[in-house]
Amino acid sequence: MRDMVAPHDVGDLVENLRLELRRGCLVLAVLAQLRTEQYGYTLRKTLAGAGLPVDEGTLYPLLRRLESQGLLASEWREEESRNKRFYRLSAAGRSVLKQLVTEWRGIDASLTRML
Amino acid sequence: MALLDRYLNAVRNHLPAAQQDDIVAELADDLRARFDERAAELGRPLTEADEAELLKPFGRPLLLAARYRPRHYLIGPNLFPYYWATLKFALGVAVIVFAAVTITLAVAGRPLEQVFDVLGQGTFNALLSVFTWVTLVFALVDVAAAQAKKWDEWDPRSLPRGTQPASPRSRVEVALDLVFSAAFATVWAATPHSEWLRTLANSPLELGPAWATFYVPVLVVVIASMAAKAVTLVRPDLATFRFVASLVTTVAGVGILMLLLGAGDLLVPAGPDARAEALVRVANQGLRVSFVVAIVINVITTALDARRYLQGRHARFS
Repeated sequence: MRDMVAPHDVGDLVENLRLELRRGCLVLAVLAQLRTEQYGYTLRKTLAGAGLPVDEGTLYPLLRRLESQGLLASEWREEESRNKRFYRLSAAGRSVLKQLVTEWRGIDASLTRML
Repeated sequence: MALLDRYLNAVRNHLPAAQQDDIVAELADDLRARFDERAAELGRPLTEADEAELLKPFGRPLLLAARYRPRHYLIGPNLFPYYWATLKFALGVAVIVFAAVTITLAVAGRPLEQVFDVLGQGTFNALLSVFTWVTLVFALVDVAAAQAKKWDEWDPRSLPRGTQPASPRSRVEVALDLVFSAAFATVWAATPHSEWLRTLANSPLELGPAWATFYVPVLVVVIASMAAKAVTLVRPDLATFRFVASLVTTVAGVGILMLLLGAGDLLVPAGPDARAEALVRVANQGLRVSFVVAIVINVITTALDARRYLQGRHARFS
């Protein structure tokens, strides 16, 4: 049987699959981190510090999307003499996060058994 | 103007107007924080090269702004298989039609340059038009569907009752039919206003005066038929409506074709050219034959539809 993927494409393939794998996890991580109110810059640093660095230009559109879906609430406030937009989990976001955490634990347990 | 402001202005230009200030203010805050942090690390003010290095990972302004838009595709995954099947079929039909036209012109003794012109330029234009129309129609359908969120929200209990399929034609067939009808209606509606169309793409032939008599009736029948197909696409379970609409439009269409058969020469020479007159005779004869074929096909398919409809009614009520 011949290989379907040329060796030089394997790196790209792994990178694409890795991004796909992380995309869903990132939403869960952002929702989890925003149980405590934060603004974008500190949230990005927290995620990176926890081992989940976010691509530049990805975090803010994601925050907007989650807010438009009603999972986050935000407000502009001044801090350190700068206006910053603070995000926090909404009531709907808390409920969704709870369900997603249950789902995540199920997936994690299944994969741990399989791997 | 500082590099950061130039970058933010460029991003702003690609953002939805209602969100520009909000998004740019948030990005500016984040970027300024990064600039301050980097300057503190280096222990000196940033140079333009330092700023460029920090901005580059955010990507081109157009790409960054695009991430704030909810929709990143023209035709979504639910509709794409139907779009792809329709496009392949429509392009195939266009190729066959142009191959037939080319062969007809070659058999009629047209100069080779004209034959190759039709084969090359004509086919390219036709394929481009088919691609554009099919893509446009499916993109519009997808946008409308996304708005209505009807593709995901369905109830199996809404499936049609009875033993026969809700529609003897698949949705792809109906959608394809609708696309072709729309393309024909557009060309037909534009014909009186376009010298190029009236003279059949600057050929030695042009449409005869008989066409003017049939312009409005044909347009009305095609639009009515499109409306019926659109309803069938949305509600394939309306068997009676589908049958009656098909019967009415077919009878009207066959009536027009029969009147066209007795309407004399439908194509006339565009100028005093002996070769054009010979071509006109062949083309008019070809048109009459195609009308007869169309009448026969329409009568047979309507008879089959009628039988299927009556069998369906019998199955439902027995």
